[in-house]
Amino acid sequence: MSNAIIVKRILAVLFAASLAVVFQTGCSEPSQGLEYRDGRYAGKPDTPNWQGDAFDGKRNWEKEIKRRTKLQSEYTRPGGA
Amino acid sequence: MARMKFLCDAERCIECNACVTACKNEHEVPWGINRRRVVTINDGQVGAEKSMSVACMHCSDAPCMAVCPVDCFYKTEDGVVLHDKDLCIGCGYCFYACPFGAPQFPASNASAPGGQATDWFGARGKMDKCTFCAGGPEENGSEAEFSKYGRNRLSEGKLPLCAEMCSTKALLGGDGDVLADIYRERVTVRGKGAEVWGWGTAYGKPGQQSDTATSDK
Amino acid sequence: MVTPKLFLTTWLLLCSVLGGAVATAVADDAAQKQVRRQAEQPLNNAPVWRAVRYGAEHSTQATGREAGVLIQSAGETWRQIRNGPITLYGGLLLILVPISIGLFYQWKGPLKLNGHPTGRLVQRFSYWERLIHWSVAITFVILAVTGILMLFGRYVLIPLIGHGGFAWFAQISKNVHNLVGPLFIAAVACMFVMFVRDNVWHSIDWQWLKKAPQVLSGKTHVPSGKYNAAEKGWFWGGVALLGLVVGISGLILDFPNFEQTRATMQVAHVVHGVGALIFVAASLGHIYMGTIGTEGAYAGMRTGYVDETWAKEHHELWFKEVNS
Repeated sequence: MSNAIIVKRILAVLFAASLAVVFQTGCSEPSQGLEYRDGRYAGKPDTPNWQGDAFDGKRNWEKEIKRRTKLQSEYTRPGGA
Repeated sequence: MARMKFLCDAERCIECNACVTACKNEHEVPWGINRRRVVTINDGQVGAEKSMSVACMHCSDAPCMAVCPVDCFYKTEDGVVLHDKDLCIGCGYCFYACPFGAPQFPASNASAPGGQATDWFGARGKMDKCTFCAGGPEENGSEAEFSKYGRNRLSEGKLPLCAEMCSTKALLGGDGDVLADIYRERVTVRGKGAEVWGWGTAYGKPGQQSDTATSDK
Repeated sequence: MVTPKLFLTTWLLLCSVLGGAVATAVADDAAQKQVRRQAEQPLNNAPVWRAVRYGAEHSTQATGREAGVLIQSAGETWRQIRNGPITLYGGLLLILVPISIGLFYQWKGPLKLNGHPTGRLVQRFSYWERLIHWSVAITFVILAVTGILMLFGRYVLIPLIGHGGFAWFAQISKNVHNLVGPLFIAAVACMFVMFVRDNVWHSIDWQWLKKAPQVLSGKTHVPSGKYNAAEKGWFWGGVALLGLVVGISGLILDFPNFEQTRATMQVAHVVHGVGALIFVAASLGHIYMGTIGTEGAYAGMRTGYVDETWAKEHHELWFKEVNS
């Protein structure tokens, strides 16, 4: 085996190793995004809060949540000062 | 899109611990766990005493999520950080990482007061934490969901009970934009004291709140 | 070996005494500052928030470890150390070390015997020595595999077998790791006592060390006792030092029954992770030299006997001692 072949092999291995490192840095802290796909959040199943009989879709649910959040202010409460 | 947040007003909290009790009662929280607790700073020092109710703040960049070796945490579209107890192995890493001390371990020892060391290898069981009253992966409002995570009030169009029943309205919970409006109005009337406890840690500085931007689409 | 429990207790005692004293002083100071600030600028709570950021224990009705701490900032530091350098450089180490060993093997091949085997055997390890060695070896491999699974499984295995599948493995891994850990410590303690006599450093070992590259490539021969300098290095640096470091930090994490604070466990975790990764990487070298790297070495640990030629070529002084 000539020296040139050995050097080539070493380079190939180092290249593979650096690729692995790049992969690892890419994976080390996954994004904490809010993507919801196929009933799963980043691989974990859950049903959104607006799904069910109580609300007719996401808009209505959000409207209700906003209304309830506002109720926590005593300044704007119905009948409040 | 609503981004769920908690806000506690140190000028209003009177350390009645009603939020703690309401939470335990609503979710039938396991023994030894405090999903919410009230901490009093400078207790008994006249003029310096401040109380603060704290639970999981549902961070934008959640440390628990980042360190979980089995990746059992997830964030819903409303910004609520939840976890899947079927995946959780009870390693305790989220407990080390959380700034607010939110994730805790049930059973004998890991989070309970001393003297109950029956579990010698610290098996710890499944981690438990505040769910923002949003349940877990199981079907909304189901029996299975209740026994593992407690009640799912969000799916009923309600907000976390601790905030909704707070008598002084020190603890607020719900859509972050609306909360900010309420608090701004309050600070204007009060004249001073605009610091919102925990928001810098949980949601980043203004302009850093990338999660609300991505969820607007 | 000093008992780990003594270490643990002293460490915890130190932490709690120092931490408690500092925290109390700071808290009192903060309270007075807040009283003054309240008079000067009503509703300015800056001193209170500063006290909170310090991470001191305040009063609370909730029971539980550190329930009175409102914010602990160290968790974020721990997260960055664990998810950053430990994962990155640890992973790098575990990829590069096997590759270099493989390259070395490709390049030089195993260390062969120069002479012919005589067929006459010398006893190198007694039954008990082998039993202890294999106890350490087997528990070590179990701990290494389960530990690596816990650190890298999220990035490597979840994409392959999914969350549910990996959680199943990880659950078993965690429990096995926690149970086998103390067994490993016990085995290492026995090993230390049993092997320490032959691992005392002699002047001759310096000569071996100086010529190590030539020795490892089979060019020269330096006589050594029962263990050569590299084996002694592995004994002191690996078995004794890393064993102690990984063992103590592991016990702190394994038994959270002593009211350890999160700060203690974070430090223990970092020490444990770094120590264990170095331990595993170094063990690969030891395993290589003990199996395919040296002709006839594995038989010695398997059966307890080596050929006279092997003994003469690798451990001449020991061979003379045995023969005399």
